[in-house]
Amino acid sequence: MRKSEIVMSLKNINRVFVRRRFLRKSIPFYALEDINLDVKKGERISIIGESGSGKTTLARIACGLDKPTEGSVFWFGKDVMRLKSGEFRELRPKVQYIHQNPYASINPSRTIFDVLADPLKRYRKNTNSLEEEVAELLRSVGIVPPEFFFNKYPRHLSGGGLQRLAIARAMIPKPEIILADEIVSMIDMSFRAAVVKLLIELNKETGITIMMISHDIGVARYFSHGGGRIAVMLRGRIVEIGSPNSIIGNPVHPYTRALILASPVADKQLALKKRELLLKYNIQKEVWESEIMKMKGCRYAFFCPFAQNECWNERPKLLDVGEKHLVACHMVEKMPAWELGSAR
Amino acid sequence: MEGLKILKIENLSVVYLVREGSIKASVDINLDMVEGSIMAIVGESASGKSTILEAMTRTLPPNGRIVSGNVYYRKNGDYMNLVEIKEEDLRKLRWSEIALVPQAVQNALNPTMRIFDHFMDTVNDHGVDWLQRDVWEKANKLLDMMGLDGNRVLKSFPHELSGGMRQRTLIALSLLFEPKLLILDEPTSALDVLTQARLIKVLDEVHHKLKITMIFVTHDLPVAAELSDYMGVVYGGNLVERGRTEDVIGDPKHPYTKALVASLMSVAGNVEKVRPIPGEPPSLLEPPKGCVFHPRCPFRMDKCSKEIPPFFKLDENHYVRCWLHEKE
Amino acid sequence: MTNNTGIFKKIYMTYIRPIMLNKKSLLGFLILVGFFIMAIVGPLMVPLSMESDISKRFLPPSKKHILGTDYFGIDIFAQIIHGTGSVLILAFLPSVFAILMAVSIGITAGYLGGIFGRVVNGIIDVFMTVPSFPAMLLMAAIFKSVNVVFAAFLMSIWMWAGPAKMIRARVYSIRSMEFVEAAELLKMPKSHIIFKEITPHLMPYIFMQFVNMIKYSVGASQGLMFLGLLKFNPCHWGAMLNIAVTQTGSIYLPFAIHYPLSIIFFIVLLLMGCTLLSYGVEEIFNPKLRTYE
Repeated sequence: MRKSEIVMSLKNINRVFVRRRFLRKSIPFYALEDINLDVKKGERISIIGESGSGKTTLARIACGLDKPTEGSVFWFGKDVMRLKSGEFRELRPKVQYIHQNPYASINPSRTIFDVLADPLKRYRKNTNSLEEEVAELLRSVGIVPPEFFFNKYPRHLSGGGLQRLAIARAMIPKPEIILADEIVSMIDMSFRAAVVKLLIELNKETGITIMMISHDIGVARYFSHGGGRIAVMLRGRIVEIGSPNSIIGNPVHPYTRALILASPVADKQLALKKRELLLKYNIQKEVWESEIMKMKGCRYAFFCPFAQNECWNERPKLLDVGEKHLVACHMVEKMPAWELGSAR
Repeated sequence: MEGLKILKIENLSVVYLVREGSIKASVDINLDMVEGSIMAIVGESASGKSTILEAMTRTLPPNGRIVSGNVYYRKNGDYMNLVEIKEEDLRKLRWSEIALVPQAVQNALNPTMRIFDHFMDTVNDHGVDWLQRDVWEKANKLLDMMGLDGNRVLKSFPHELSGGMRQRTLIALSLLFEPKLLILDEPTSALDVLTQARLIKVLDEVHHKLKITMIFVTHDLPVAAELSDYMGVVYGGNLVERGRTEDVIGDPKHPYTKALVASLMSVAGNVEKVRPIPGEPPSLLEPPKGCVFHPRCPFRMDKCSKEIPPFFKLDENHYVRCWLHEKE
Repeated sequence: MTNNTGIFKKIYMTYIRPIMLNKKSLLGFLILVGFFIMAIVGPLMVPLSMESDISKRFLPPSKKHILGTDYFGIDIFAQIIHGTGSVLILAFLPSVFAILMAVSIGITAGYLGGIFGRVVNGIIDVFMTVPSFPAMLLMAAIFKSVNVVFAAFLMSIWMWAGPAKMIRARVYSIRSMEFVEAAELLKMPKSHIIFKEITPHLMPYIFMQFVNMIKYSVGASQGLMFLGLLKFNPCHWGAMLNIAVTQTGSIYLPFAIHYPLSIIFFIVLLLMGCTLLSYGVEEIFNPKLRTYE
């Protein structure tokens, strides 16, 4: 089996935001701590986490929109921070980022034609006419009939349509990596599957590597199904990572289990069962953010029914529990068998 | 299982007047609420689901007009028409009989007032003569029911509370006068999954403890499925299907409901069977002729593009607005 | 669609149609066109005699004198018509110069930021704090009497600073919007980002600044006349108003009130025309407002 190429690598990434206070000690906020991640070529990897988990910061650092306080980002083996400006300019278009809010990431004052034509003029090969290329691009993301939308404005499209337009735009420089940051959170449910499916198809057809950031485990499960990986983030750290079968079918970390149990399903019986089980993995209480941040140990300890002394004092490291399934938890041995088996 | 109908919405149609014409936000809505049950109205953004709430509580914006229809509310054995009663009578009903919990995302809480002041404000607004001490006690109890530390929350300002805490505070506020009917507008949107699960649990407990009738509007189908007894599905301003939740979700009859259920990406169920819905949402300004869903419907017939289907009764509670079910 | 008719159609659809279809802006446009015609054709159609006839002082509006006569017995309407051209030039020209300066300096400083931005900010501050009246006094002493274009330029020097600062601030906030970031991710050239992405968002704001400048120019230009920097034109509305209010006491005399009122009416009408037009301008650059598409 050919060893897959690593297209993107994050090593020891730390990102600290310091809130300076007047005449008082500044409070550091650790958005990301000790992140290590290797992304393989052609992979569909999902990063899930709630708000405050650092997933958006991770995505922005990974695609160069933000700089880490410590650590390095490697694109195709090259350290992004050490690139000369010429090299960076060449590599920059190969890593694209799609924003969460399509109503803000697409200029509302320009027509749909212009939204695609502007970058096309910069990147195209001059073989076909501009209209044909724009039409082709619109067709490839399901915005049909293309000519009808040429002189329409972004407000004529639904949220789902806009995101598909954003994906079309991101594909113009023929990128090799795409980071999709919560791209379906702001659009209606009936359009989400279409957008995610589009990315899956793009990945299958062109082999482009895609990193999907989401707070919705269902989205991650659908997207990474069939050879991808899911990484679970909690307060700046990756606490579990593995294939969808491992993460959804056999989660180990109590936080992952809690997330899956809390995720709503359209089956009342199953939902009730999950609600009962949730208490086993999540203690519901309110804790100050600053308390959580000051903690030296596992950041889930406050809410974890299994927490012991070591959990409060020492940060757990990612350990392999089999088949490239990594978990950062001191209590791995003590975890009961996963009650939901492989959920059907 | 039938029951006393506390609310009856009949043939309600609402439009918003704009420069270009009228936006048909609600078309011929028919809904009944059984006392003591929870009903969910499910629809996407701009589907007209919030319009139904606005029409019921007469909180439509200035350009909203109730074109036709009635909303009957049962009070002390009599039905009163909410659409027609005088403003003073409606105000008496508000909060004491019917309470509306807005989305916490909207700035429903005044950032310059402490939470206790919000409670006092509400009490004063209703001209009720309660002592501060009593209000504090009552508020405390309600907040405890929500799983919040009443004493701490009452002293705080809204920005000191998290999104989930704010939403629960709003619900506690709405229960102050022990209403019979609680209306919630998107109670779980913008909340994290764990907070959401907690809120659903709280709503369920409140429903059981206080035996209160609840109606909530959401775009989140799984949340609706988990919490409600009855469900209505809205698309393009039309109520396309309604019935008991287990019937509507378990065996959806309308093609839109079927497609919606099939397009959900969830942690349970078969990943391979997820089917996206093609097409774009309808314009409410110029809705398609005939059935509002027909441009995206995989089962459409000739009739669907010409005539609007009426409600067809499938069984006691299950109604579908689709020509496919004409014979039944 | 890449031939010439396509481009004209695009210009029509983008720039002309919104103004025509919006009733308010159409009205504004017609008012301005009316003034333009008044400036060119008016003096040919309405004769002006500047001969003073005191017996005809402060005659009320009548068939012979549509707006009545002023302190010197001269027909007010004729004066206003003959002054239109002067007013329009001295209102629009300095505003155009000033807005061009404000926009180019403000946008580039706002977008490029860094040291360049801060230096420019300092320069803007200098121009903002220097009081315009003494400066113009100084210019009057240096330049004696100048032609209209140069006078417009001198006026614009003191008008561009404030708007430039505000434009820079707006650009600063637009800069961090997501669609700008998306364009940067695609490595679009800076000129594209500045002119095609950011500027359309600023246009309504810029236009409002433009209207403000016109307001200011009407007054400032008559100031220049009194300073001797500009050739004195007694029919310029600003000059007329000054004479009416301060030198003839017409605001104290009830029977003479038609004199200042008619002048004010026309000044206000000009400004209203510009403001109404700005509604249409807003629709050009903010397509969301175009409800007919």
